[in-house]
Parts: sequence; C-alpha cells; structure tokens
Amino acid sequence: MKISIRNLKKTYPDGREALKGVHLELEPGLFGLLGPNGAGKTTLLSILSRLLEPTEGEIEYEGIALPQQLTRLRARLGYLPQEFDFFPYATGREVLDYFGRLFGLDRPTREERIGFLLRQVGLAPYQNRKTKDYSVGMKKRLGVAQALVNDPDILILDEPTSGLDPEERILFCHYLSELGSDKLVILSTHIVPDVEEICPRMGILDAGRLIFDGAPWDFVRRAEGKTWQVRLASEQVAELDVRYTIVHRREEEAGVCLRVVSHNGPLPGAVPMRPNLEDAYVLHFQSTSGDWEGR
Amino acid sequence: MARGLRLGWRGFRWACKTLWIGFRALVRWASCGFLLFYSSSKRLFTLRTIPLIALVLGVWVAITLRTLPDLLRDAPLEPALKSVFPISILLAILFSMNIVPREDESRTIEVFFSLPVRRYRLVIWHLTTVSLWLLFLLLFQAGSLRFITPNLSIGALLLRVFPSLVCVSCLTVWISTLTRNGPAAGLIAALICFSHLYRIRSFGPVQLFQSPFLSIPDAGPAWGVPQVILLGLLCVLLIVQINQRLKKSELWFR
Repeated sequence: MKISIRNLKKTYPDGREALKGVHLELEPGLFGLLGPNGAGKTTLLSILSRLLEPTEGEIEYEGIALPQQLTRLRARLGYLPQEFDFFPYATGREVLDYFGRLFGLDRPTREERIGFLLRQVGLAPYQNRKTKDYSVGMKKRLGVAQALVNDPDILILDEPTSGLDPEERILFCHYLSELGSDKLVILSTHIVPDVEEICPRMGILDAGRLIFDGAPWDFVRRAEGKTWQVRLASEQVAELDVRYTIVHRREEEAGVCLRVVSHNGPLPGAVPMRPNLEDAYVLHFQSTSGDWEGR
Repeated sequence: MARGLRLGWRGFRWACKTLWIGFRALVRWASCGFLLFYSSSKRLFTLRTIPLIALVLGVWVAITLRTLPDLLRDAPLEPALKSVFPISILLAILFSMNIVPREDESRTIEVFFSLPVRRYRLVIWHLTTVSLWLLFLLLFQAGSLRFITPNLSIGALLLRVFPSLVCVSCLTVWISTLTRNGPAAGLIAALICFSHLYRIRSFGPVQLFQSPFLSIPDAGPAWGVPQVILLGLLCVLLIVQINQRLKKSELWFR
C-alpha cells in the first residue's frame, strides 16, 4: 500500500507546532525516520496510524477512502508505540490471542498466525510465561508480534530496537529487513546504524520539517572529506573536543582513538575516513545547532 | 410450475445460507465475548485486587450476620437493600475506577486506539465484564441473605440494586476519563454516591444531590421498570460522554 502525505501540519492545543508542512510519498519497503528528540517523529507516526488528526494537510492511503473506511485502514495497519506494556498476568500467547480476536481473526487463522509469529520473534519457548516476567527485549519482540498479528500492509514501529541488547538488535533488524520486502515498514529510531543497515530509504525530521528524504548513501555523501580518525593521548581529548565534533571514542592501550567530523580542515595526524550515516547525521546537526557554531 | 419450484429452491438455499452466516457470526461473537470476558477479567483483577474484594465481602458477611438476622425476619427486602446497596456500590467503584487509567498508565491505550475497533466498545466490553462480576457477587450476597431468611425475594433485590450498580460503574469510568487517575476517580465517585445515599443533601443553603437517581430503592412494589429505564438512559448518556472524552486523542498521547 502506498501513502501520500501532503503539507502535513500538526499544532497541539498548547500551541506547540510539532509538524510544519511535511511532504512524503511512501511505497512498500523499509523507510527509516531519523531525527533528534522533539523533531516530530512520534507525532508523524501517530498521525499515520490515525491516532491523531492533523491540523492541516492530507494523507492518502492507496485504496482507502477516509474517513468512511477508517476501520478498514486500521485492519490493515500494525502499530508499535514507543512505550508499551502488556497485561502482566497474561502469557505471551494469551496477549497475541487477545489482539487476534480484537482484529476479528477466526480461530484457525489465529492459531497459525500466533504460532508463526512466536517462532519468528523467538518467543516460542516463552509463550506460556506471564509477561510480567519478560525482559525488556522480550516485551519489544512481543510488541512487534502484536503489531503483525493481523498481517498488516503497513507496519509502523516507533523506536523498536531501543532497550534491546546487541544480539537481539541484530536479529531484530534482520527480521525487519525481511518484512520490508512486501510491506511498507516505517521505522522511527534514534539508532542511526539501524537505518543505515536495513533501510534503502530514509527521512530526517528536524523541528517539524522533513529536511531529507532519499537514500542513506546520498546523505552520507555530505560528510565526504569531513570525517577523520585521530589517535591522541587522553589529556589531549578535551582540547580537541572544543574544536571538533567527536562521533566515536575508543579507549586503546596507547591512548584514545577518536572519530571526528568537522567542516574545518583536518587536524595534524588525522587520517581521512570513509563516512557513514552517523557521521553525516552528526555533522548535519552540528552545523545547524547554535551551540556548536564555529566548529 | 417448474420456474416456481426453482425460485422456491433458490430462496430456500439463500435463507439457509443467511442463517448459517448469522449462526457463525453469533458463535464467533459469543466465543469472542467469552474470551474478552476472560481476558478482561485477567486485566481487571490483579492479585492485589482479589484479596481486597474478598476482605470487603468478608467484612460485609460478618456485619450482616451480626446485625441483620432479626431485621430480616419479618420484612426482609428493605433491610436487605440497606445492607447490600452500600457494599455493592463500593465494589462497583473499585472494579471500574481503573478500567481506563490502567490502560493509560501501562501505555496500552495507544495500541488499543489503533485497532479496528471503536474506542468506546473496548470500554463497553470491560463494563460488561464488570457488570457480570457485580451480578455474580450480588447473587452471592443475595444467596447469603436468603440463607438467613428464606422469604427474601432475590429477583426483587436484583432488580433494585443491579441497574444502579451498572450506572455507578459507568459514572466511575466517566470520572476516570476526566481525572486519568484510578484512585482519584474512585474517591470522587464514592463521595458522590455515598453523599447521595446517606442524604447529605444540604451544604449550607445549597440543596445538593436532589436527583431521584441512585437513591436506595424503595422496597415497595412501585419501584420497577420506569426507574430501570431511567437508569439505562443515564448509562447511555454516560457512555456517550466517555466516548467523547476518548475521542480527544491529544489528551491520551504524550
């Protein structure tokens, strides 16, 4: 299913403008949404999942006439909010069964779907355990399973990998990339490498505006020639921090290895590096933030 | 003749098919309803709630057995109503006050609102579950009193108490959509209901709680269908207000 977003604006009752005219065309595949805190990512996802109504603008869902077919749209949509908990005394299987019934799935479909999803998210051995005994990662995985129980055409995930340990995150990203082959998956995250690894297309929101929409590698090009690696003694790091933006820091036996980005020229001893998406992202927000001006 | 038979046969097949579809829908709704009752019960009653309910009922049984046997002997309905009503109101408030705030606090409300189910229906499902549990507990209380005095009419007791309990549940849920806090909603609902029950009407020169609703029902034969209808209309009005409140999405998403 395709989604067309035109001039989307959202102003909350307290006057805060969360979205200031967003234009976007979404097609089946993985779409990563990046942005700092307060950029409007959650607001955009809430509007797309029809939890909130926009103040202005239009959203068209292919084959769905709104508002008459809102229920039909919701039946084809799966949503995982940023913060989500479950019925503490229900088991994982019971939770999925409950949501399956709310989606109107009949028993054979439900049984098959729940069994499949529990295996896919790695919760089959824990399906009869109460959700109050689940770890953060297990709850996240159950949340994704809940969002998929109706086999939706559109899957909206708000920070799905936050709280997962590295191994879980890798498995999760791999699973999402498989889902993106036949569904429209919109993934909002702070974790830039997740978008770089699995999303062929991404958008960046900043203060309610969509400042980039395209392939991650196009955005990465902005950081070419502006990314370096340098090794320093620990006591020299503070001095460098004043003039350059440090993207990564790694403690080594002989000192500290830093990865820096800057529009200024390279510092002595720095080795130019091939930039990644995180470098470009940090460089962009370094450039646009007044606090970092002049670096 | 042949054409008539064909048409008749076609009509018969259509009628059977329609009946079969209706039957399957009914079975699906019934099983869905049962599972929702089961899941709603698991959702509503935690391990902390159940002992509290048992304690409340235990206190009621103890007080009733000590104070009522003599009163119940001659005209059992009126003392039975006065005994059952307050405790049932309290249980209705306890069961209902967290229906919406719990979803809000546990952040499941966003997921529920994204489902292809109208928002007020989720509340109605929970209210139906609460009502069924209240009916069950009311039957327990009525059965206990009937044990003391066999000439107590359980039907008359249920008719007078149960509609008010449903109304109190709806009122409590509506208040909880305003306060967004279960205990606060329970406290306000209890204040309203018990102030009215115990006729705390005057507050200085102001006459409060003059409403004919939600008083301890008359034990006389006149109390019946009109009062039930009025309470039903009040429930519908409250559910409409609950729906209006739930539709204001900005209130619920942070």
